[in-house]
Amino acid sequence: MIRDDKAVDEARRMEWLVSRQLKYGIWLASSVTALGMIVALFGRCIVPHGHTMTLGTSIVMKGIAFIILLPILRVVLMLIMFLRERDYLFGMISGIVLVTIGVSVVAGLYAPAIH
Amino acid sequence: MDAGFGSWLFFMSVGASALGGMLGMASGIFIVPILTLFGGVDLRTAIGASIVSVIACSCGSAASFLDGGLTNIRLAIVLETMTTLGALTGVCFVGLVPVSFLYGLFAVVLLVSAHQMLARRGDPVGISIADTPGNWADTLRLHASYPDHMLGRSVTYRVRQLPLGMFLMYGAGVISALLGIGSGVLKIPAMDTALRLPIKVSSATSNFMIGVTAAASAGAYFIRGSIVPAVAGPVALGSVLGSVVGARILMRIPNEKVRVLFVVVLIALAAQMLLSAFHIELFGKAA
Repeated sequence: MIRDDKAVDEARRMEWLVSRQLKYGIWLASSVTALGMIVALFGRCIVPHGHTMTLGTSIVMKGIAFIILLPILRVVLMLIMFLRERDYLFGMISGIVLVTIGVSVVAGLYAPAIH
Repeated sequence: MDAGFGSWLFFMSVGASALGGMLGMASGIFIVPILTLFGGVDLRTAIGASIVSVIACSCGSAASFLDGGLTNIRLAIVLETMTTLGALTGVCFVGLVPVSFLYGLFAVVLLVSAHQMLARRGDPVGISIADTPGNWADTLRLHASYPDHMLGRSVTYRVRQLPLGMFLMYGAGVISALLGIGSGVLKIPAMDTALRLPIKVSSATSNFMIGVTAAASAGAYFIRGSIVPAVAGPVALGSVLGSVVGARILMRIPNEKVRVLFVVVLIALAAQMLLSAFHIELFGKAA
């Protein structure tokens, strides 16, 4: 009554895809962050005079950026899947979420910070 | 980046997140007070580090909820329009409110959490309220079912009072961005009192939404440069590891003692955050 079988199948498929994306994504992002920390803290032991601290810190920053991107990519994935199912209403809702996140990130540049 | 301080951050986060996970709480609510009160980290850096760890924990645990068929992703994306709007509001206002107000607000959130920990959540599904025909939840086809392993069958549920739920979610988004927490404190009443979801579904769906909500403010703080890698890196890694450990221990520990311990810790942290709001320090070295 509530959903027909086809809709249930599509919902299951979306759950599966999103689940894989987040699961492998967080593994990858955590590994990058961990690698950066190892380079920053222990790089000196291998390359005593290199800029390992700077390099490590920049890798950690990339890992963190990747962690922040994971849920945003999840909404992009859902947007694509809703559009492919011709569920335009939910495609639009996903689009609204993405635009709001975008505005929020831009607001970060201009809104006053805690001092 | 300092090895000693980095390890302290890492193991502190593992502990906070594992303890939080044992009672189904996010670690963010402990991370910010511990960082500011005991780590001497300033509030802005603590919020930045905490919000990243909140995303990491949400993504890390989302897969098991999704695979269990507990997460209602259609409902989640609808509610996320409001949580992200709340986060946007929080990002715009966080610099305008005084720091002491943030400390005070945090104390209130800790006290409400302590209260929620004492009051057991009952499954709100059984309580019947009048269903208006042609409501939003019907139009958006949000009603769903989930497999209950205890009952050994699929349980169908209906989503109630969507507008009220969305309003509370907006508030949760604002609090999340202001304090760098997942703000389950507001999501739980929204899901229990307004939407009337089964507990398993609301936990899974709330966890799913926390990541997107936090990403909206974390993205802003990242662009602004408020996220310090030397603090946020170890905290995020430790929290992910802790949440995995916490979920494992959940089954084996007698719940009642942990619950009481948690209430005591929450009230103690609330008291100290309140004192910080008025610039009084009993311990720690925060500014």
